[in-house]
Amino acid sequence: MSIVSWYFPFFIACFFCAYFIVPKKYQWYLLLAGNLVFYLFAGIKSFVIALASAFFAYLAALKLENDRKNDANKKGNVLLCSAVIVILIAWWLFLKFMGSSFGLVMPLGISFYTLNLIAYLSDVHRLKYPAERNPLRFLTYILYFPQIIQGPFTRYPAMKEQLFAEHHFSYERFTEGSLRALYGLTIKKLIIADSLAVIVNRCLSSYSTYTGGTIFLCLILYSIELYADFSGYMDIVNGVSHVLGIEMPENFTRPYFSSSLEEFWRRWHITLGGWFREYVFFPLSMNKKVQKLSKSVRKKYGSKLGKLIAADIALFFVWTATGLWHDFSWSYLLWGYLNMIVIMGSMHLEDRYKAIREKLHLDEKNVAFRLFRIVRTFLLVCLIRIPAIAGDLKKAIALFKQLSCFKGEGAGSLFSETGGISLIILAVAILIMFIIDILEEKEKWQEAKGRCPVLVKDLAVSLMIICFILFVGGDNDLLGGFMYARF
Amino acid sequence: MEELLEILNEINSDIDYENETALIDDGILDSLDVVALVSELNDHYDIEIGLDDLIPENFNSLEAMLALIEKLK
Repeated sequence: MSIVSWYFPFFIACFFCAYFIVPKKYQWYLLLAGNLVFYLFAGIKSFVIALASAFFAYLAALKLENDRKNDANKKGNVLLCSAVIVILIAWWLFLKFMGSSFGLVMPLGISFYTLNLIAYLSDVHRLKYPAERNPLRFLTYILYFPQIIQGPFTRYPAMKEQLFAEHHFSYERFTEGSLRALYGLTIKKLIIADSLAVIVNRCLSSYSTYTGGTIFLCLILYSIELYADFSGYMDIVNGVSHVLGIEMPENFTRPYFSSSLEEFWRRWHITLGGWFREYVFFPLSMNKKVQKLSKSVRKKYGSKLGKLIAADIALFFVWTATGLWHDFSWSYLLWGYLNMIVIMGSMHLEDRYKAIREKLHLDEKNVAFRLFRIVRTFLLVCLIRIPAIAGDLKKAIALFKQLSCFKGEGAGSLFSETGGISLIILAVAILIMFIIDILEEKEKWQEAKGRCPVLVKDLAVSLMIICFILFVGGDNDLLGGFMYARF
Repeated sequence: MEELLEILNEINSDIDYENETALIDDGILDSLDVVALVSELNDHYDIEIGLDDLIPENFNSLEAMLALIEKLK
């Protein structure tokens, strides 16, 4: 079921009513039923694969926990679990490449729930928390419908407390959550992301006819589109969950206000970053062999390099995995490595930067200097995204080359086919998103919402509902869903 | 405590380690700092900080780190 469709508001309205009407102890059964119905919309084959992998993880976790508790060092079971997970990932990667050619099914949200399954099995194996005994409860968690398509990634203990608790209807939660979901769906997704997608796709499909400046503007628009699309989805997930009384982790904290690429990755897709940190970065950097290497490098080349070498090795694997997780292609691998090079470079050159800043008397708290760093980081993010946008290396190189081209169509041509009113609506929507992000960054958004007159709030809700009616399923909905759902 | 403070100041000298109690929870020390810190602590105190020890509670404050070092010695 696409969230950008008439089905979803109908489904969610019915679900909200039923959820708060049924006896509280049966609420989670309803949640499970909602998950199954939502997933069934993706097709029966997809549904069976998801159920089978969830059931496998349920049994495997019990077995792994039992082995650890009985001190039985059964490496065979760990290997078997790892093998099944690897097969699941390989299947998902294979489907990404060849699925359509063979008519095979790509289960809904497979890349997201596979990572959730790995986290669950790994945590249980490390005895971080007990395995779930009830298969239905486990299924309620792993297939939780708001998060199944694009996350966020969650940890079982945090979700368990909320999913199976009794929740009473709260008008405040209902209005707060609905408003957030409506904002994400209409302003961010339907107006900003889908309108920009038309402009960006037009530019990228005939990029050789545009000037370098126009291509650069297109990259900036793409970055706004991606943010509006992905964070818009998260607003829907968090808003819907808030109404149900379930608090999901935030996946974005105004990433475009970051003053370095490293900070950007702490504020963009936060839960994916957390997953890679927990299950790839730390295990690798803490590995005995890596620590031993770090020690010998420190003795030979000094403490600075010795300290960073463990992080360098781990970061190489993290960015390889991050690139391949997004897409099993050379272009995404290049995108990952470009991020890695900048982050590693800034780690190694930190002392020099500090010395230069001190020499130039640049205060990090200075507003103008901070603004410069924010703009620099944003433009860097836009440029680094070129391989990811291009989809293949040849096109990526051509796009990089095109940036230095002065001949071709100017920036105005990007908007020539978009109507005047549509452009005004788009500009106003981007401005609203920008203002809200600034208020959130300054922690004044809640206060501003509180002070806002009821009439203005009602008007905003009415306008968003009208926008939903006008835009859903319209010409702009070219992607037929969210951008990150394809990863 | 002095030795540990010296190590921590080498990682990042802008932090008030003696008064901070949420070094990890508040993101004052990031993952790169933690890896560098673990490497230093292992080396200096001849201990072995494992993956299971890598929880915020063990690194949130100076006292917590001292307790972890004592436990692993």
